[in-house]
Amino acid sequence: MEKVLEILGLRVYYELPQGTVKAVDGVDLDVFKGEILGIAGESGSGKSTLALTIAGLLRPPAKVISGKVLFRGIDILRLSNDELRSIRGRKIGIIFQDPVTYLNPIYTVGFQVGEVFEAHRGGKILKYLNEVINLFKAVKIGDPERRVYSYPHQLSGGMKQRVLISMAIAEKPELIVADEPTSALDVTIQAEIVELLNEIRKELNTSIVFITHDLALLLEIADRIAVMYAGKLVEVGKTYEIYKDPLHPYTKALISVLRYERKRRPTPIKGSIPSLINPPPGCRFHPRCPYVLPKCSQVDPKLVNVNGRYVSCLLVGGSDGGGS
Amino acid sequence: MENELILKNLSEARKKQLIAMWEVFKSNRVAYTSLYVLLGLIGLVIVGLFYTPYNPYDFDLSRARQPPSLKHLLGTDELGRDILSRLMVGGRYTIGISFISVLLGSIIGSTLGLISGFFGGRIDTVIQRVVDVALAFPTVLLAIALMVSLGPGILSLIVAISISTFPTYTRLVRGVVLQVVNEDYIAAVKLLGKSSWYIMFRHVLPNVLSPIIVQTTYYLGFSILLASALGFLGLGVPPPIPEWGAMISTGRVYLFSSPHIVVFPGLFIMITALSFNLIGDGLRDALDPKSRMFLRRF
Repeated sequence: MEKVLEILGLRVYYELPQGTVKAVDGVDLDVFKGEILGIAGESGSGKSTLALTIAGLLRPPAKVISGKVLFRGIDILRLSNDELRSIRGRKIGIIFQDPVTYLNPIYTVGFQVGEVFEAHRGGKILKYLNEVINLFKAVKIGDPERRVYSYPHQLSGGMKQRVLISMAIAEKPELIVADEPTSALDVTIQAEIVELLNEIRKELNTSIVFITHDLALLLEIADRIAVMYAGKLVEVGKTYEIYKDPLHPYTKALISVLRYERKRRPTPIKGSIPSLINPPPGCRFHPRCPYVLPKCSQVDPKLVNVNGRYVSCLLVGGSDGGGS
Repeated sequence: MENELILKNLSEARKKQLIAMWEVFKSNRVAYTSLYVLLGLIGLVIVGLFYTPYNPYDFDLSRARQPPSLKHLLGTDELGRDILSRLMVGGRYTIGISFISVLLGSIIGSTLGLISGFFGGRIDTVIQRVVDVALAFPTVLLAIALMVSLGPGILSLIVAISISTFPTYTRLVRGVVLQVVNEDYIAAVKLLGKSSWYIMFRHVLPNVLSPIIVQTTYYLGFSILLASALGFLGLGVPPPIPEWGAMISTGRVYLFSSPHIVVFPGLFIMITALSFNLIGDGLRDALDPKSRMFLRRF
């Protein structure tokens, strides 16, 4: 399969006075053409930092320590601002979590979407009105001829998110990075937006990196899922395989929570996510792991291929002859 | 053809918005009335450019200090000059000076505030220290000091009032700009690769425009008072120009025997200043998009 994006050994640290936060600590990941790759993780697992890095939006104090992010073979971490601009927003579209704050309250939404065209192609904003209306049709905004003149406060949250999606797909990007695009919306709207993203993927054959803490949502739409824990990937695999047979103890725990929802009480994962300034030695999950072995606190497991899936766990890798 | 239709829709959308603003403004009865009072006053001053019942400079001691009558609607002053005529002529100085100087002060002050808040860093520090110094003086005292050093005259009056009003604008605008530049939508426009000046004037300025406009209406009232106060102190336009403050100043000797000489210019000053302030209140509501939405729903 054709790779659109290749992340190699990426480490992104935040240099703070309190210490160095290892938000992304050695991530390897591929995104293939036309797939929806879900990245799941708790708050503070580094998934948003990963999204910002892919989108080329990292700001100090975040710092890329090592690694590459190859988009179509070009390392976007080494690009200058001007070069980045030709990719970001054109080849890579971005959708953010909170649609409300990304629209200027004093301009019509049509103007603001037109501004995206103007920035990329030049000319007057008004010239692009037809294109904006077509985009609004594409993201299923009802009555687009009139909606382009609406101000953000006249639109609902779901509508605003559609407007932002239309901005992201304006230039028909090859990759869309969606950082929690549905977290600020209620569940019914969530389903519509997810459906819309799925349609866009089919129509434009775009790859989508869908980042969320909502694993259940990913099971619905993602082709593959990458589970992140404390700055590292713990398991990457096809969605149904991960659901059917999670290998990593952390993934197991997450899936079991979803499965046993109907019973009285789901089994919680004991403890909480570790500090990223002083992560535990060895496997970062070992203090909370129910299957912990003595060597877990000494050996940092690598992501290894287990029957077409990638898992970083001494238990699983060991049984396959791999391991650290 | 299609583009024409789109343009028509756009101008209609803008028109609708203006109408909505006007409706909100109208719903504030006090502000609405003040607007007409002010328009009437300005109309009187405009008429004064072409016609006055009497020559405002013609003195005739035989008809000095006459109370209001049909012949002299607002009476005559201590030299027998018609007060209405003098007010009609003096208004162009009082109102004109305050308009021009507040306009100047708001443009300079807002631009500095915009730059200060948008770029931050060293530019911000320098501008803010200048403002600190300017704000350390009481406004009236600063204006008096400037008038004394610049010498009397219309131009120095304008300069004095603008200099004493601009620091407040800078502070006000900088505060709002600091809020706006941290909004995600500004970050989003930056990502599109737009220049700082484009972002500053296209996206930040319109967001801070309504506090500027409201502040300006308040300051118009204030500067009329300031211009009159300077005129009263003899620091404004030189006599015999019938600037309203100067009229009070010369008439104050007869405050008890012929109060109308002082009362009418005083009333004119008060009504003008009050109207500006009340209109400012109405504008503040009308320029808030949320109150427009509120009106449309009910």
